[in-house]
Amino acid sequence: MSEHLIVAYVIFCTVPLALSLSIAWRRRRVRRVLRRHTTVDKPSRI
Amino acid sequence: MGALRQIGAIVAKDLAAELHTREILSAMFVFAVLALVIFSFALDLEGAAGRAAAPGVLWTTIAFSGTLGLSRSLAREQQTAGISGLLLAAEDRAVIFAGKALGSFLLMLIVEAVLLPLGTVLLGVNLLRLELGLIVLLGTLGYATVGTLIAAIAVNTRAREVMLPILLLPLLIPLLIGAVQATAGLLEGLRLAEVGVWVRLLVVYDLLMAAVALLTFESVVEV
Amino acid sequence: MKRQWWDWGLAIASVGIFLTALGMVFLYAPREATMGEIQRIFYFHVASAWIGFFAFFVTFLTGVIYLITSQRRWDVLSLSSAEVGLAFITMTVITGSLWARPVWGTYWTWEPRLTISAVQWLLYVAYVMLRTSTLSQERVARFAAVYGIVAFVTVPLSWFAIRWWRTIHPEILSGGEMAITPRMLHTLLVSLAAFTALYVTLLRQRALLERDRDRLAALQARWVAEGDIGDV
Repeated sequence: MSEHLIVAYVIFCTVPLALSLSIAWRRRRVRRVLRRHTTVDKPSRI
Repeated sequence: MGALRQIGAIVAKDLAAELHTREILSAMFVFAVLALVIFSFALDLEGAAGRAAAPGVLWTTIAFSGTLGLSRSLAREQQTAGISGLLLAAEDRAVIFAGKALGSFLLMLIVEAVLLPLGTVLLGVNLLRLELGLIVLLGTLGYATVGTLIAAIAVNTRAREVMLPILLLPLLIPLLIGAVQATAGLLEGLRLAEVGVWVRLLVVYDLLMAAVALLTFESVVEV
Repeated sequence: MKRQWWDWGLAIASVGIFLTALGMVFLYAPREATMGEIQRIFYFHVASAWIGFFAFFVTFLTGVIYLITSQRRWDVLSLSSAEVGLAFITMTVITGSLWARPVWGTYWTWEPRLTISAVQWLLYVAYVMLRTSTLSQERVARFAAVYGIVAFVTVPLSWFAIRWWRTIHPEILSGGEMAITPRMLHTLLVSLAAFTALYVTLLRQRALLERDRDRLAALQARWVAEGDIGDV
């Protein structure tokens, strides 16, 4: 089996995986800030 | 008729301003000459090599000196807040677009009028032919159309001098392929009818891009 | 809650179809006679190219709708589709050149289909760069919509330009043509389904990310307006 074929299918698997992980990671970061702002009471005015 | 007069007024204003300072024209001239000379050194363009590379060298030079001119002319427009004045004066955005594109078109033609004889001398091919003039006209028209639209976008971005070529050059790929192939055909001694497929491509590109630009320019200049 | 079920279902389904397609490529599809094993790149490569192009069509279409309606959700779709499409086209270009090496003897050749993928890659990298330039959200949305439209119009023009260019300068590109057997067709169709499902899943997740960002931006804007910045 040719190594070009293997490399190609490794790319086919890793690129979508990398994109979905990157989306999930970015979303997690945003959601963490969101949650902190919405569940905890708004900081009182000083 | 009113629209035509308005377009004429915008072109006249731009050209008058440019002929007064000659800031953009001189930069484009010097850049074009530099590019031609550097290409000649880098690719060792003499005799047969010059003839073979001439179409590519010619259009690369036009493409890069064109981006130089476009980014300067829009930056000037922004510095002097000229575009908001235009937006107030002319109610139709299509008129402004046509005026700006025509202005860039004429500026590029002035540069090319010097570039073609210079290329004839440096590259050892006769670039001063009527049919070739038509190809240059068609290519420059499409360039100015797309270039004006994209420059209006790029001028608003951070690092606009970098964004303009990155946004513009991929859009020019079909235009440059058509123009280079038509030029190469003519230099090989073919007649205009024999490079008809490329002429048609250039005409379709020009018409299609003009239609898209006229329809979308309003969304670009809206503040 | 119902929404989340949907999303999980979609993700699991696309992983399932993807693995099925992967299995079919290596176990079900026959070995091609002239090109041999390397021909198996074809199935995912073609699916990725088609869905990538489709993604850019979605960017174009939603860009037009955004310019007409000015509704943010169309802009979100437009941007998400371009980003996912760019990932697909990147895979297409890389694996295309991996295919070219054994079949045509060189990593890069200006073969029309390979070239048009490269052109699309350049166009949509520019699109994503335009997206990341700091402008007000509303302006960048309008600019990107216009660029998405012009870029999509450039694709067919480039296609014809490259086709005619390559036929005028004929090159010996023998190989790469093949007869499709039913098993090959099944594998291709399942691969297409896999990439379609993957596209829909990624598009949806990317759009949800953008929605969360919008929420956060709105919240921060309100706090700044109320005078207490909090711990942002």
